[in-house]
Amino acid sequence: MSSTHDSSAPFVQLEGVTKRHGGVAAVDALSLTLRRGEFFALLGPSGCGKTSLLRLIAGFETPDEGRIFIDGEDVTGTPPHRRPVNMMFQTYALFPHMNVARNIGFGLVQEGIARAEIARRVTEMLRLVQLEGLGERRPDQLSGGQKQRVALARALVKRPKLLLLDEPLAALDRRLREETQFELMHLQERLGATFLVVTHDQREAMVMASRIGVMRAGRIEQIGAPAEIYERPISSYVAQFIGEINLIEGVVKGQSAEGPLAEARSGLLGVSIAAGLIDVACAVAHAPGSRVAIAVRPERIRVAPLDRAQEFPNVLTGEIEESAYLGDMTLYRVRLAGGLVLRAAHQNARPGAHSFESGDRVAASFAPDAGIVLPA
Amino acid sequence: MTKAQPPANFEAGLGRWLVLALPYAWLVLFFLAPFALILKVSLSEPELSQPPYAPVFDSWDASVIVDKLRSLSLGAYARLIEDALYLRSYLESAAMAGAATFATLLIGYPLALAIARSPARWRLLLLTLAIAPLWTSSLVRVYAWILILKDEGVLNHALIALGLVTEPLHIFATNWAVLIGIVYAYLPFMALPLYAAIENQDRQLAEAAADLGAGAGGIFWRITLPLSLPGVYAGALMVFIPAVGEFVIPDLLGGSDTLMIGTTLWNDFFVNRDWPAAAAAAVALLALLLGPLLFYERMQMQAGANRR
Repeated sequence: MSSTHDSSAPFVQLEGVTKRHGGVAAVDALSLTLRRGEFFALLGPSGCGKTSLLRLIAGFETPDEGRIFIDGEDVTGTPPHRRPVNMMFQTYALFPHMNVARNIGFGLVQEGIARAEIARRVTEMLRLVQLEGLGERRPDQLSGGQKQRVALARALVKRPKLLLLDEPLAALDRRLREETQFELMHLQERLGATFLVVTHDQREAMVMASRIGVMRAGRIEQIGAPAEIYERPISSYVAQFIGEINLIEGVVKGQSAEGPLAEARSGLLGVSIAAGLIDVACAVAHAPGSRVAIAVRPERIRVAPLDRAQEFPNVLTGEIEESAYLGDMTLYRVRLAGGLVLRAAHQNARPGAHSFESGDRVAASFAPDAGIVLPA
Repeated sequence: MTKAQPPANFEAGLGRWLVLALPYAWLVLFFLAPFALILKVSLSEPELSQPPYAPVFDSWDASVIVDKLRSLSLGAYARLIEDALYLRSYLESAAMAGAATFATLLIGYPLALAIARSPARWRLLLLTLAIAPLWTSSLVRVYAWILILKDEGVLNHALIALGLVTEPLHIFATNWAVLIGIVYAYLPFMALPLYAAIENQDRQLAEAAADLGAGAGGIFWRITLPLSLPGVYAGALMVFIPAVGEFVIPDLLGGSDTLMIGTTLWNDFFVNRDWPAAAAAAVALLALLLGPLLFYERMQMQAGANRR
């Protein structure tokens, strides 16, 4: 991130923004602050209101309630063509009757900039997105990846303070998508602009963004750095949306201030689940008898032969229901006593590491600090 | 407006030929055959008989064909050039059709834009209203315009009652009345292709333009209008071509100074009974209208090539 700006100063501020579509709140009393120069990702399933939020910031829609500030200026009622914001559309929305150069130069012509200067800046943008020499092409003569770059160049040519990207990579195939993720990051670092990207792809958000806001039904459920959201989700919704996770429901038995793990600063929560009793690290007080959900990532679940069960904490015995060898890892589905199925991912760090087949009786276990206690 | 491309796996079988043959059979039967008849008449000399033209090519006897060919005459076409009336008719028809095309465009574009931009549930109703006049006979509608436009008609009554004019405006039986009638009658033919061309546009293109700093005017002139040009061309042709040859409207609404090729043709056929001259005028009109048609075809080809 750029060090020339105070990166903690609020750059984009949404205060209690609500937008209803036919009585349903697409964006519901949402407040959000973006810092100058950050790469922020709004993550959520389709219909969660993330695109509506983007359109509110771009000015295509006006909020029913609340205010929007960009760089200290109230833009709530400002029409889109007067906002210091540019947007890259999911469908790219390239002008079909203009060639690439005129598409990119559109925003500059609109500003009344001299033709020679426009030509210079268009060439500069073509170089930036590696499309030199394609200025004369028509949009329909371009590949999907090239169109995506033209759309990006067109949105960047006016040097916007804030670039909005609506599912910028959704139309690309997987390999191109992964390459482009890194390119977007580098571009954002180079330009020092603030990027707000909307995506339903949690991997994409985690790769690119410095902060992620997980949206649910018009609200932001959790905001944090990718690692924070992944490792400390605040709800089962966030936990399930970001990566794979096992949710184990149970009832609190008791809580100890001092656990057997000396390094764990938090106390241990004893939770009774259908398959037995487990200990989970937890700093928050929970009354005995309250219902909780324990979230455990598949990669934190160890699968071992039954005869080694006593070596590990939180052992749950079960039977391998399915196993899938993926090369770098093997995925197991372990059916526990009580019917719950745990997903476990084993890294195949060494060739010929222990593998199990369906029907094998195994001990599934996880360390107390691998479990996240969530409200049930 | 894309040209329909047959799918790659379309079988070049009997079914395909039938599908193609049907419209062609229609065209041959109802367009080419009558046209051949007109062409034949145009190459004849007028006679005071029934039918009022000298027979040519009535027998297909090989021995007399050369004779018959000799009897062909370009006299009618010579009269077409010699008589200034025809040239004036063509020019005035073209001017009238051109003015009507321009006026329908000026009225039809905002109309089509408004319908295309209205809420989806209103669009069908508004579109139906725009073409509703076509459900009644054009003759009835032209007569209605006589009632509106004549000196003691509805319009003049209203204008005088409102105090806007003291003397009735003489619109009826002038070229203005013809223009108003043609604009009214052909407005749907302009508005429909325009509507299709505007409604088809990706609304996100307008949003992208706004996002890049274009206000309402910039969006219209740089996005909406250029993208709707195929609709403008189609609408202009659909108004211009029939308007050039329009007969009923100039005949009923026009005055003695109204000179359009449709009325001239009618006079030649039924008043002067110079069928060859009338037929030659019709053939020449068709030849003249090929110009704008070929232009349109070229625009379509270019648009198609750009899309590829």
